[in-house]
This record gives sequence, structure tokens and C-alpha cells, in this order.
Amino acid sequence: MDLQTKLRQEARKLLEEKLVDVVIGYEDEGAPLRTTPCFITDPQDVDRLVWNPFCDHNLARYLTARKDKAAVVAKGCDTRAIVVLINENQIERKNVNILGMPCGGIVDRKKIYNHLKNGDVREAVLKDKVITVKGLEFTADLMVDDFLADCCLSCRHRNPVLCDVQIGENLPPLDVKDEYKKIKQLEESTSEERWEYFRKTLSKCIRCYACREACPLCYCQQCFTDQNFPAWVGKTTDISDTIVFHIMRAFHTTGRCVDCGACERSCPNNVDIRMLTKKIAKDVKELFGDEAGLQLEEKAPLSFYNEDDPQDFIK
Amino acid sequence: MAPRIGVYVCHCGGNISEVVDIQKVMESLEGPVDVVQIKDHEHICSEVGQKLILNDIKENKLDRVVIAACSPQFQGITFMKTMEHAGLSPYVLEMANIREQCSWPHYDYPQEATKKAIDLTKMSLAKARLDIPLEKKVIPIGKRVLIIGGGIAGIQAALDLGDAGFQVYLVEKDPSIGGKMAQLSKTFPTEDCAACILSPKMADVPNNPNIKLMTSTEVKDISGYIGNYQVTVTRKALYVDPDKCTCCDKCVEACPVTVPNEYDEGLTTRKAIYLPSPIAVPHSYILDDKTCLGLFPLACSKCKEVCEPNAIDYDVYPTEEKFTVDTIIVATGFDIYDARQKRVYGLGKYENVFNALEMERMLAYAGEGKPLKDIGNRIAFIQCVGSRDEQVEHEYCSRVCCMYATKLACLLNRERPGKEIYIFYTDLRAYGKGFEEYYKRAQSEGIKYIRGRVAEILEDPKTKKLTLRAEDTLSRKIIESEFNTVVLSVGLIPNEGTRHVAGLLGLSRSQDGFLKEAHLKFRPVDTLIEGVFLAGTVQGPKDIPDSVAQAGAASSRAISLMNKGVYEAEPITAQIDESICIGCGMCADVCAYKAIEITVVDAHTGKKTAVVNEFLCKGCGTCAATCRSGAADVIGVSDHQISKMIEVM
Repeated sequence: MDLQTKLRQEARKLLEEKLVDVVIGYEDEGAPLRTTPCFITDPQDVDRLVWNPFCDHNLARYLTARKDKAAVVAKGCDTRAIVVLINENQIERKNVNILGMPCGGIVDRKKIYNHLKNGDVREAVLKDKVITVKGLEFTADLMVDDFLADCCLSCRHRNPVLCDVQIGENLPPLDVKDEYKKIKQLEESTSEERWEYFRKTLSKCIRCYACREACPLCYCQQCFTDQNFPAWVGKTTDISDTIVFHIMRAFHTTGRCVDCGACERSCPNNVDIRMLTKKIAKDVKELFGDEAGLQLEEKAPLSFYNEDDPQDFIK
Repeated sequence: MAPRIGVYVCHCGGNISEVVDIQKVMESLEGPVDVVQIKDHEHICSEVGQKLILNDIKENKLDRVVIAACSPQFQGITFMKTMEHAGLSPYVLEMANIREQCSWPHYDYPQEATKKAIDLTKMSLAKARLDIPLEKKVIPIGKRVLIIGGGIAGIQAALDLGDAGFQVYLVEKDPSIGGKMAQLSKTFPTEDCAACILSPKMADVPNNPNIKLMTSTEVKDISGYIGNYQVTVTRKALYVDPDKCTCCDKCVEACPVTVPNEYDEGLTTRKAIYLPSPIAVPHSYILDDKTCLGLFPLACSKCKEVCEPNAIDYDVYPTEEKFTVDTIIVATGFDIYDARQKRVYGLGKYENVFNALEMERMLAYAGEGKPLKDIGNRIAFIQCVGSRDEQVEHEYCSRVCCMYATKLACLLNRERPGKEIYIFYTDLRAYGKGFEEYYKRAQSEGIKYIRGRVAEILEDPKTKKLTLRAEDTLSRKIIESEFNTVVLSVGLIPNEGTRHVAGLLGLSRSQDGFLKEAHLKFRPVDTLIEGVFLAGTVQGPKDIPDSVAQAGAASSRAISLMNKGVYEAEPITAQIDESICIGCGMCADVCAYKAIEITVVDAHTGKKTAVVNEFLCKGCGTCAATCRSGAADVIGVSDHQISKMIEVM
């Protein structure tokens, strides 16, 4: 039985037995290369649920501020986000039923558009590991693995770290060669080169806040960017404002970011947002040996101190 | 209504005015309508200066005061009192530090110093505009004290407070009070017998009606704040009723279990049922449930069978007790450095190498005419074992080892003549009253002091004699000599109990691991937690006179707080904007004072937010800096005020 069928079965059971009020998953609304989050409350609707490499949203986003009991379809990175949310008092463990999906990586459709030189994809059919895309003037067979999102290429947690029901067998760990290749390149470049790179990528930002809205951990009631009293950051798309926004947002993810890549995928302008979050995650891992969202009741690395914490930065 | 601000720029008798152009500073502030007056003064902190402020507040109806002078750390309190005299809140006063931050450091750059002085004063002005007339918070305070630790410091503090009529809870984890001092042979420099001078004090404790003595008791939890500390203690099961026990010793004869005796540092043995020490208070036998042959299930019961007063009951369990106190004195003492970590000295490996506490016990028995073992004629002391040693990360001096080694050497020398005793030292520190004289006397009695660290000790596998190799750094000669016994003068280190209590109370520790005082010079027994004081070696290595003196100081600090009946707490505390707070709990995690809890504030929606206990909060602002959405802020030093200060720069 394929994972999608298993998932539907499990969802039906949960709804029929009234173990949950809603199942949050993905459905296919017909747009090629995409799925849409769906909220299923009627057992008869479970066949709307799909599971494929286009299920790219981090559905943990929809768990905060709920009062009902929800089951959620969650990939490895999504379960890590759920763990962080539980640790940060945003969801109660008992109110969430995690349908854990071992995940071989999701497709970054922007990579496909780039590959097709932005050709208008009208239809996409997935069969096994091959996506057949059709436009007005072209047809192409593409391999899923060639178009995986960057974060999936260096993923170390393909299997759920926390779940109530796991759909399917664990996947073997990915042989990640150099998780921080891009970050290391950036670290090794001169400060002028780095600044130029920051300037180039962050100047594309139009302050639409899609990254913030897609991020499961950007759950603040009032984001610092929206505050006027005091106004922490200017609201224009001038580079000085966008850079402050992105750096502050990245700092806010310190020790919390699970590298699900939702921010970057949601960006309409291809801003290299993960460059900042990944760099911070690397620092946290190197300095404190900590990876976010792997354990319940774990304190964020910046929320406590140990006497043997590294302090080489004190000059 | 616009505020009415008065600004004063101080010359500080030339300290400021010789560098900073006072006139320019004053001119730069002119303009805003709310700046009602700008004045300068030769010494604004003088009586004349203060009267000027008082008068201006009255005449010109000032409701804010900005003083550009020295550091608020220096004269802040003076001017806050002036504000109070004038009937204003001391929290509508702002000070710009144009001395320590301008005229002094930028002495050679008067123009830049003036520019900076203008900036700082303008910033203070910007902050003053948004100041709120805060009032100190009054907390009622009673007369109950918890003292943690029943060593000499804890005992002294308990007696001082008990005698002064305060209700004392003295909690000690061991079965007897007395602490490390009860194990010592004699005390330097007077060579008083430790037990003889300590045991009367120990006996006074249970006889004092104001002291509730709780031995075999550990502090499990402390919450609350000054005037309202909720304490939970765990009282271990004693198994022997101290009221019934007559100390007849029959149970000990009957007990089949023999284990090392802690009181003698394991040099002698005791039974599983035993008297903790000959001078134990409370003077009662206790049953060690970790080594007793079997309480669960009951396997032996020989002691119970012979106990005539029927004082033994196996069917008892640890209990919890809760009580409330107003202040706390932490006197959890120290541990000795575990010299086994210095492998080159062979402690635990070589038969005739001892640490100093073991030698104390051996000498205590020798004094009673019951020597524990023959220690031979040639004895060497090695100083600074685990002290002043970067290798083991104890860079501090333990302060007592030079003198206790001198004392032990003198006692050994006199115990049986004909001994040769060497003390290998790094530096000899005889700083206390009577110490130098004692050191001279030891030298005249033939104790040899060699300046040099011992590199290693080798044991002859047959004779068990020890060969020491060291460099005499004064004569630059290598010494290699054979000894019968080597004593390691081990340093003092913070103990596990201190770590536990520091965690419970949120006390900070110095780099050496001992608890940190609020101010090394002026508040040596206070901590940064209101109503919590330190006594004895918990704050750092010290000898008995210093521990006793500090215990007295801690008691007197506690008394001066409690005698007033009320405590005035600083109003500068964190506040949470509930409309923004999402209850992630990061602020609670980072709060060093445990002043924040995540609480459900709306039962209907289940909304959780951070809630600040304003009596515990110190207004440090860590929460405000941590909060991602800016929900946490500090009243009196708000984000809004700080951003306005930055704007005018």
C-alpha cells in the first residue's frame, strides 16, 4: 500500500473515532507542481489528502492558537518545528496528533521554473520519481531528485523525530557530504565580498513578509516589524531597512530554526534567506552542540547558560 | 501637561569644568519649552547645591530634574534623597555622567569631551521627559530566618539571631552540627583544641528556645521573596528517636555492619548504627539506611532487639516540612580539594600520603593518647595542593593552608621529639592576627620551610618510604629526600550543597565557584537577592575567626532588615505587555532571579503570558532584551525611553 493510501486510512480512523477534530494535510487543487494545505473534519473527505514531493508547506504553522484537537501531516523537519512549538508553550502535546511522514525530500518548483527558463507550466504529472511537465510549447520529463529543495539536500532528519503514528518505514539517513558548503564559502570570503552578497540578495526583498508568514516559529502576536512604539525597524524596501529586518528575523530563530526551508520557498523574489538562518544554526551547533527541535522539554541554547559555555569570543 | 524640567551642570570643583566647556553644555540645552531652567554649580552635591535644587523645585514647580555631574553610582543616592526631601519621586531624577565618562577619560580632548557631555546631557533630558514618578514598594517583613548549614558560621549566626529574639530555622544535612571545624585537632594560631571551643557553642544551639534545629535535613525548594520565602525541607528518616536514645552503645555492639567512618575521614570504622561524633549535637545514635543490612525488607533487627529504651523504629520514612521565613543566611561551607586528582602526589595510591584533614584526625587521636598509626620521624607537607594551580582551574589562594600546615607541623613536632618536618611552599602567607608570630615560632621550633613546588613523589614498594623531588627556589638546588609521611595541604573548594542552594535561590557565583557577594568591599555578606546573606566559607576560603566574624555580620544585616518591619523594594522592575506576550517562556528561562512565570491569564481563552513577580525582579532587563516581540520592558528604563535617548544623540 502506498503512503498516501495509508495516510488516508489513518486520517479516516482518527476522524471516525473522533480522536481529533480536524486533520491538517495537503490536497491537490489542480495547480501544477503544487499542493495546498487542507483542513478535513469529515471522514468522508479524507480522500482529498495527498502525499507527494510537492507537499512543501510546513503545516506546523497551522497548529498554534488552536483550541481543538488536530492531527497534522508532518515531515521530519515539520516534526522538529512541532517539538520547538511544544517546548515554547505554543501547543500542548496532548492536543496534537502527529502523522509522521518519512520524507525523501520535496521539490523546489522554482528550480524547475529556472530549468525551464520560466516556461509556463500548465500541467505536471508525477509517476514514480519522474515529473512530466507540459507547457504550451514544451513537454519535459524531469527527475524529482534533480529538483529537490536545498534544505532537503543536506537534511539530517528525514524521519519524524516525534509522532503518534508513523506512516511508512523509516528512510535510511542521507549521505550528506558537506552540509555547510555554501556557508563556509561565505565565511571564507572577505567582508567586502560578504557585504556585496548580502546587499545583492537582500535588496531583492519587497517586504511582503511571506517568509515570516510561512515560518512555523514566527508566531509572535505582534512582530517587531509591525511595531511603532518604539519602531524597531524602518518599513521601506531600502536596503538598510530590509537588511535589518532579515538579520533581526534570523537572530530571532537562533537555536530554534529547524531548517525546513519554508521561508525560502515562500519568497517570491528568491532572496537567499537560508544563508542567514543556516549560518546561525551552524554557529549554535558548533558552540553549544545543539540542534533545534530534537527533544521535548529541551531549553533553547540561548535561554540558559553553563559554566563551560564557550567564551572565546570575549577578547 | 508638559513636564517642567530643571537642569544642573556641575563643575565638580574643576574636575569637570577644566575639560568640559560648561557654558557650551548649558547653551546647547536651551530652547525646549519644558526646560524651565538651566543652572551650573561648583559642587552640586554639596549642601548648598542640594538646597539650591530643593528651592528651585519649590519656586519653579519643577517635576523633573536632570543633573549633569558624576556617576550615578557615586552620588545617585544623594540626589535621590534630595528629591524625596522635595516631595518628588526619586525616579524622576536623571544623571548624566560627564565626569567619569567625559572629563576624566577624554582629558586631552576638551572639544570632544564637551561634545560628548552635550550628547549625554541631552539623552538624560530625553529620558527625563518620559520618566514616571515611581514609588518604592513596601513589603511587610517578619522575624524568621532560615540558616542553611550548621558549621561554625551557621552556628554563630543562629546563636546571634536566636539571642536577639529572632525565630531561627537551622538546617543541616548531616546528622550533627559542627561542620568541618568539629573534625579539626587544634586551631591556629593559638592551638586551642577545636572540639573544646566548638562543643559549648554546639550545645547552646538546641538550648536556645528561638532556634529550631533540623539536622539530617536538606533544603528541597525555596520560592518567594524577602519577607515571604517559602521553604520546603526534606527530613531524612532517623530510625532512632533522639528523645528516647540514652547513648548506651548496646546497638553498636550488636550491629554486624562495619563501614568507614566519615568523621575520621575513613581512617577508622563505624557501624551502620552509630554516634556521628563524640561531640555530636543532637547527641543521639543514628541509623545509616544506606549501609544497614536491610530495612527493606527487614533482614537483621539486631540493634532493635538490644535497645532497652525501645528507641529504634524501622518503620519511619523521610518527611517533608514547609515553613515561611523572611530572610535567609547561606552557610553551606566548603569541601576539601580531592588531591587524588593530582596523580603525581599519589594520594590513595601510596600508603603514607595523606591529606591535611586526615592528619587532623590522626592528631586528634594522638592527642588522646590513641595514635591511629605510626607516622615516622621524617614528615613533609606539600602546600597549595589544588590551590593557586591553573592546571586544576583553582587559581585562588585557599588562605588557611599555610597556617594549618604550620599548626600541624608544630603539633607533630611536639607530640614526640626528634622529628624532622619540612614544609614545601609556594609563598608563605601569614597575614592574619598572630600568624607571623606563629610562623616565626614554628621556625624556631625547627620546622623547615622550603620554597619550592614538589614535582613528584615516588614510593619505595618495600619500605613504603616516599622520595620527594623538588627545587628549592631560594637556593636554586634540587632537593631529593626520603620521608616517612607526606601530608598534602589541600585547598578549599565550593561544595555540592552550595551549588544546590545557589541554584534554588538564583545566587550568582564568582569565577572560583564560591558564592558571589553583592559588593566585595561594601556589601561583603549581602547577595544580589534581597534578604539572602552569606556567612563563612560559602563565599570564599576563610579561617575560623573570619567565618565567625562574617556570621555575625550576616546576622546583623538580617536583623537590620527585619527590625524595620517593612522592606522598601526598588520599583524599577520588568513589566509585560499582555497584549503582545505570547507566552513562549524565553524570558522566564533567562531570568536569573526566577522572577517570571508563565501563567494562564485568561481562563476563557486559555491565553498564557509571562507574569513578573515585582518583588523578585531586579529590573536587570535581560527579559526585555530576550523578548522577540518586545512584550517585556522595564518600568523606568523603557525601550521607548532608550530609543528617544538614541534619537537625540
